[in-house]
Amino acid sequence: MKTKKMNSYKKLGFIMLVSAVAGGILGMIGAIAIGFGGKSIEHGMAVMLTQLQQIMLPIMVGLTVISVVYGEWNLRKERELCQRVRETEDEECDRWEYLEEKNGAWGMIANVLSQVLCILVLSLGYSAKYIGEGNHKGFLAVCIVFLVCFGYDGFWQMRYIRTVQKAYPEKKGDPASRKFYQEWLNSCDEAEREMIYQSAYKSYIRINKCIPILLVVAMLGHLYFNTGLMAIIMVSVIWLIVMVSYLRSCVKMKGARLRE
Amino acid sequence: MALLNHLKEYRSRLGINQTELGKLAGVSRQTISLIERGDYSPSVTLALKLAKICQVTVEDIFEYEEEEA
Repeated sequence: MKTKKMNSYKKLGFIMLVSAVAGGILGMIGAIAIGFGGKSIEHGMAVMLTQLQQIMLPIMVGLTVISVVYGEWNLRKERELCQRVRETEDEECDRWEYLEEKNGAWGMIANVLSQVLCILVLSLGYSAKYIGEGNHKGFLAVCIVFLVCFGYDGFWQMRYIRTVQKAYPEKKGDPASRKFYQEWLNSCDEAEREMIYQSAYKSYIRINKCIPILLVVAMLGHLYFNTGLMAIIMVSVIWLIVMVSYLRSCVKMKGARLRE
Repeated sequence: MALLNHLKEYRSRLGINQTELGKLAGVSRQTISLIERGDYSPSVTLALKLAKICQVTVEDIFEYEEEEA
């Protein structure tokens, strides 16, 4: 047991050493890049931002069109697959259920991606300086298209859940309700819950791996490109929320079991 | 695999499909399918329910086999 512990310390020490060396190399490359062309990098970023601001509206319109076309195609396929699930039995049904789950997951990923991209595109012009330079009409048009796309994405999720509920009537929950997730979980049986818990734990592990990387990126961005403290604060707050929520939930559950 | 089961065999004897067995046991069809395939070990409560539906003992449906080290 002791040897195993020592190995863990050695492993952690090795990871820290490799990270320090990698950080040193990256820092050296960064320093050289800034020394030789730092201003041009900053200038390049500013030029890129200006150019993107000019094509914000076409990007947003394109994004909306793609979201609607893919969303409708995916939902139509989902309905067909749900129909197959209802019509088939046993092993054959397993196959259709897998395809339905896979299609739904792709639809949901595309939906969230569309929302994230919409926010990113809107953020390009979301500055008092840009709006103040006489671009307010263009930005207003972008805002309207943004609302259309975001609204569509929200309704898509509701329609998707309703489609799934038609195939699995035992699944409860109103997607418009704030208690939807709890209601959905309550309507799942033990095997389904185990799958949800496993997926949630995997997501927690992945978030814990990604956040330190994002934090380093945010810190480097602030160091070299003066991106501000906000990104660092936001990532740190998310990290804290994730950790505290998980630990609080564990302690709460153990406490509840002791009281029983 | 540590837990072997004969659920499919007993279900066939009853002449019902996975959906019907799921309804009787109060779980989804997917859960019955997962148990039959050996991908999910049910809780004691569910194992007892299934045994009661099939009118056999839990040991008749589920078999525990020691895994070789």
